[in-house]
Amino acid sequence: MAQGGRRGRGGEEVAPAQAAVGPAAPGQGGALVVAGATAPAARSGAPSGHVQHMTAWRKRRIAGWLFLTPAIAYILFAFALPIVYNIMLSFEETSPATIAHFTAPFAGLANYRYVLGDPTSQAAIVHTFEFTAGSLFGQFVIGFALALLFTLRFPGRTLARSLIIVPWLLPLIVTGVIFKFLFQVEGGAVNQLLFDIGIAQHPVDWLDNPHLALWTVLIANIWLGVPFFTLLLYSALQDVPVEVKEAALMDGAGPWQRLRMVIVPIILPVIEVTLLLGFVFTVKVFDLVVGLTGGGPANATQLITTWSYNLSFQQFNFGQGAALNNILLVLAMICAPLYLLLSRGSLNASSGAGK
Amino acid sequence: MKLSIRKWHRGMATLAATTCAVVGLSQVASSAASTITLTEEDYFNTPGQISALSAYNKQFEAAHPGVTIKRQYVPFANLDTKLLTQAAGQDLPNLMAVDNPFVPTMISTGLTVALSDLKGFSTKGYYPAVIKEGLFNGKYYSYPVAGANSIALMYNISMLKAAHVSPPRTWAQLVSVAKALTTKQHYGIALTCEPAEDTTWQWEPFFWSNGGSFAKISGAPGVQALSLWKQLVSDGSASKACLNWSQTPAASSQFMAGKAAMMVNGPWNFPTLNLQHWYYGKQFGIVPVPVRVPGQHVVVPLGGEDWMISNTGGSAAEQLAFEYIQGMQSPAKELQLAKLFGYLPAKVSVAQTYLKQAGPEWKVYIDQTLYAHPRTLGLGVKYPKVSQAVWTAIQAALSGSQTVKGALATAQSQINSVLKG
Repeated sequence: MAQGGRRGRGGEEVAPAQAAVGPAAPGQGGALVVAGATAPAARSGAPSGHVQHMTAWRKRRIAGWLFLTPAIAYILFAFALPIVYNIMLSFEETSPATIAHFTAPFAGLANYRYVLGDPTSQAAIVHTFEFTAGSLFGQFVIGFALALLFTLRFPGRTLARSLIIVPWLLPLIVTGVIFKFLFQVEGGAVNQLLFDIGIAQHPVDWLDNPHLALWTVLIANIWLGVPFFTLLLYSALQDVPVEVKEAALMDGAGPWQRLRMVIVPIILPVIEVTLLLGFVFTVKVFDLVVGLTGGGPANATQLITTWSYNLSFQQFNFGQGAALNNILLVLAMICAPLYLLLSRGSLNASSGAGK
Repeated sequence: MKLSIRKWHRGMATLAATTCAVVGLSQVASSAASTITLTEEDYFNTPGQISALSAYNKQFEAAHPGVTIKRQYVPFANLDTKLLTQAAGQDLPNLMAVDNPFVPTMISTGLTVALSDLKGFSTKGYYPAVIKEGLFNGKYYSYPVAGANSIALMYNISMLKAAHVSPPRTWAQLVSVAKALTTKQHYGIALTCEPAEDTTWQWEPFFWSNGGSFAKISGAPGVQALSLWKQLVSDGSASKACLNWSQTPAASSQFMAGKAAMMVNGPWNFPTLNLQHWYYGKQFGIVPVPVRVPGQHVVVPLGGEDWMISNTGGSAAEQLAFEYIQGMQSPAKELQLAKLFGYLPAKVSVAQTYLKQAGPEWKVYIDQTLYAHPRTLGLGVKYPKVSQAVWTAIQAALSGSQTVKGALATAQSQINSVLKG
């Protein structure tokens, strides 16, 4: 019943569309569609009424696929092909000598073995974890605090709110260069400030100390990501119904309780999505590191992205670079659903607790 | 109304003229069967280099009717990657100016022409080190572009006078002079230690002049050379910020801004120095890179680019591309190009003439070229990986994440596996 109804509706919808398309585009495309749609139906020798239904339905389906084709082609070409090629590359013994051919000698797991055994790659994987976790934590805490701040009424609020987006608008490589100037040992604004306040007696080698450099890159990235968190969390906070907040207030909930028991559970889905997007943005950070430290000093700020670029385009080991990239892909694919699963659990728990 | 009609007439006339011109052009193009476009890629971006190339292209086009040179500029950092991508697509330009450490890699793609198989190729008169950059399996694949370059120690004359020191010739002098030159306002020397090829290139004169070889980097010559740099930094004579400094423009601008009294750098800085009214013998002087003990030969790495031609199966374009390169190898052209590029001519006799014309600031650079060491010699396509192990060790030692010996031991094991593979 339902199917017939849908089919009927479909027929009605398609007919005027065809009428419109037919005369306007009498080209080859139209002819092809009709021929393709009717020929199999005619061969099957079905009753004419059914044929009409079938052709209308088939036309609709074919039209649907035709409309989908550009999108599918784009996805295949722009996403699937590179990923498949990347996977192929990671199993090949590549070098500039093999680059002129589409395939190279099969290497088995050699590239993966190399990458997993290479101390710099291992360090890059660890750095990527630290960098991602640190960035998300810092961006979320500061972003949420700012979002809460903007829900209060204070003079200059609108201006401050629009200014907060500025870091987000800057190209990453520009941010990298700006932070390079800010964190310079000599003449850097940060060291000057620390001097003036009296915190530092000696210039801090932010970018040149292997133990500090990753922190410096992390600070830059947190600064970059805060506007994104602020904007999304602020708009979520706007959606928290006033009645609920007032009700909580009437029930005698303090500010911390209202935040933890009322506001956070309501905006949790947005927090989830924001963290997930933040994860995606952070895990693929590349330009910022290149602009700030180039992965140095002595690979102390090498991330999976920068090191795989180095393997591919500075050492011309495309297979190893591809292998490391695939490891990143797998890690991201494990982390994201795992995170969603965990947070869904917490969402259920908190909404259950609310009841 | 009248006006609009006139406008319409004028518009139609323009349209007609354009159509005629387009049709005419296409007719010319189709009638001249010998029309060939040569594509060329390089990273040259100084005003002198750009004007030198465009003048040469015009001259070549005038001498070869129907031939067009299409030059494409690609930034230094992107050219290697771009050429490899184009190689993957079998779409290399006819002509490419390749940075010399990358030449063996390009040869290994199998997509470039052995120039020594072509009529008229000769290695006669070139500095051996320069012409051997393109030598592979007994065949030559390249000619130098506008000559070669290397590095030496540049110093700020007034700062040395103020400190009552003379330019250092040995490492011990370098350490003491750099210390004497360090004041509140400036450092003794600006080093280059960023994570990139120019750091290895800067360290090579110290390492090689001391008898070092990459296969035995953890030996005494390497430890001594890296300890020298470490000492300059720990003495405070060189800024630790060098870990993020490129050779040009980062380190060179420290020198020109008066924030460092010395630097190791190349002749391509002359035009910039002169523009800022720094002249040789007045504001700045040049001595060879200091050696550990007097009497050691200064071995500098050899810099510069090489012309390579992509293989198009012996086509007319290939032949023309070779003519294009050969045209630059005449002594007169070499002189002119070297001057505009800020390079040294690649032939011994031309370099001598050049010295007479170009001025005394070139003397050190020209003398050194006799001992210059091609970076890829004996390493070929492995050089980029070896270089990376070296600059990582330099960074590790100077930043303090490893000791000099520890950093070089790490580099040694990396280089060993590169050389084995």
